[in-house]
Amino acid sequence: MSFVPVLKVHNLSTHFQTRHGVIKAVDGVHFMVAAGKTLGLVGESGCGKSVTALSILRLIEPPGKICSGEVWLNGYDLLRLPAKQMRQVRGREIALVFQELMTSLNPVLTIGTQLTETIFSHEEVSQAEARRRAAELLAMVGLSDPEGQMRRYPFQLSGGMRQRVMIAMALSLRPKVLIADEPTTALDVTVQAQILVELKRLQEELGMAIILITHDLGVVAAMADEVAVMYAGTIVEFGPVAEVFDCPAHPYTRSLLRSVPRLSREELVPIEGQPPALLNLPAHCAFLPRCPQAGAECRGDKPGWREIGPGHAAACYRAFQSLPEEARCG
Amino acid sequence: MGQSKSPGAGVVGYHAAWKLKKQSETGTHGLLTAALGRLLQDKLALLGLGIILVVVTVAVFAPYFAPNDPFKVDLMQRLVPPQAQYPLGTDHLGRCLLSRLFYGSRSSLTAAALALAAIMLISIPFGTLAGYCGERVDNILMRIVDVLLAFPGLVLALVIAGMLGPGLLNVMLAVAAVRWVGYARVIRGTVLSVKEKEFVLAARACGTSGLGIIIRHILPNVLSPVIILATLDMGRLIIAISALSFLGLGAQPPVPEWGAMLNDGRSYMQVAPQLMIYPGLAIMTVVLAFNLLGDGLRDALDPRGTVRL
Repeated sequence: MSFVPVLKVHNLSTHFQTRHGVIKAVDGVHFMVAAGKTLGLVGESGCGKSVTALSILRLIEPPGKICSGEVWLNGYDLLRLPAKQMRQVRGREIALVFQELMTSLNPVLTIGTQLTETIFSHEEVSQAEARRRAAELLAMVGLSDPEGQMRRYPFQLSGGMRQRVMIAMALSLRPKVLIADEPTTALDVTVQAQILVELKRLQEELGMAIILITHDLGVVAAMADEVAVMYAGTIVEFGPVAEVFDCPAHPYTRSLLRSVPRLSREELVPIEGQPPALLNLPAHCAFLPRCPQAGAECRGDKPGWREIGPGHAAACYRAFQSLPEEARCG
Repeated sequence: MGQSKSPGAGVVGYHAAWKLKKQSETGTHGLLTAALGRLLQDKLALLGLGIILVVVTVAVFAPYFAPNDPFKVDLMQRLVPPQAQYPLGTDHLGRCLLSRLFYGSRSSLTAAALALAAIMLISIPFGTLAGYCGERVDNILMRIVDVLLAFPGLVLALVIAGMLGPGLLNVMLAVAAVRWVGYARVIRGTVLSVKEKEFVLAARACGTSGLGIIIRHILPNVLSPVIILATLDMGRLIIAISALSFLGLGAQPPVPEWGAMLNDGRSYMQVAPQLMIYPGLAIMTVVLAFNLLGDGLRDALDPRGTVRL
């Protein structure tokens, strides 16, 4: 399996200046995605997943600020690109699909207008050509009667249809990387499955990389090739999806997996306590107050990366010690 | 939007959805068409619209409707009571009151419409800029608005009109210079709320430029509150312009204008009350009509109205 990364995120930090202090929403995040592969970015609400996505596209608004890091795409560091070139990257190279179905489409414009707008903003094409391509896109994401849909307004479509339109819009310029921020969270499970299958098919067709942001571990298991687990603004475990799910090394990943309802298990084990406030984070491991396996060394500096298996690493002092004997597979 | 989310929307929502389906099948969908449909069911708004249409028709075709020359002075026929040749009688210079009322509608309506256009021209860029740029730009622009709002509108308009000198055009400018601030505020507020919507972020994520976002995404969403405000305000603009004319700053003789006519008739109130009654009634009717239409439009363009089609 050759691994050619299209997008490399290196040491990305995005902080928000507030009256009470600095909120480190994203703090030193590293990851990369290969063409045609899917990276699942999982974590609880508020752990910095969406801010990471917005930071990659440089769509962070004040008081937020990208403090440091590099985002490499095509040999360019996006964070140092002039604003005009950056606009060319958005949509053409990296596209974004949102979770908010109700407000992600402009209520006063038809679907067709919104789709062609994206095409017009990047390419010099005729109205007819843009509309033809928009119809093609709608057909590609599995909407019947694309010509008719283009004349409709967002409020005339169902949630699933809107999400398909959003995906069509994101794919309109055949981006190399698609960032899907909770693309199916607001949909019911059957529609969710349809959308995911569609995404997978489109990925194979177009060979793009997908960064799938979600808190749904089931979706990650079904879709992703690799998974990065985020906690309090940093990635705490990274690895191939099967590895991470079979023998999670970080106590947080393990707790997260235990809190997913399964038919075969009687009891749900919630993670005790609350995610830490991102304001004035302590110097030690952020998961410490909730960690069942914490020891003395955890009160020191933040733990560095430990390799658990091939391509599988966790940021935890006790990543090895704490693994139950039978689960140790690295 | 929102119809499936609002509490208790169940049956109504289903009904609305069914109606929408019907609509889209017949191909008459579209937000404005739907709004127009709702407006046509509002009897009071229709009445307002009817009155406005009649007045506009009269204004446009005044030469055809007017029974006499509105400028022809006939000192032998001063203050004549209503009769066959002068349906509403004559004024202090023997001019036909009805003809002058017809011609007066031209000045009053044009002046109000042009003032409104001037208001839009100032307030839309101003409000949009303040709302979209935010932070410092917003602060500076809105403080200017606050200062202007602190003056009583008519007094400030009086001062400006006084400085510019009398004349209908100057009165229009004076009224516009005072009134635009309210619009700028409403527009800024709407822009602020629209700017936070996900579709704006989505457009940015697709690489749309700032200007493109303002034109394609923000302004269309600002349109409906502005239309409502403008229609409701037309009445007030007509009153403001008439008031300034009444005070002698607006239309100059011999140009007929309703406010100026009121002023002319003032001295003869006891002998010929119709000289004040009819211009007054004309102003009142038109203002009422615009208010009725404005109220109807507000209901029709309210996006929440989609549920009760």
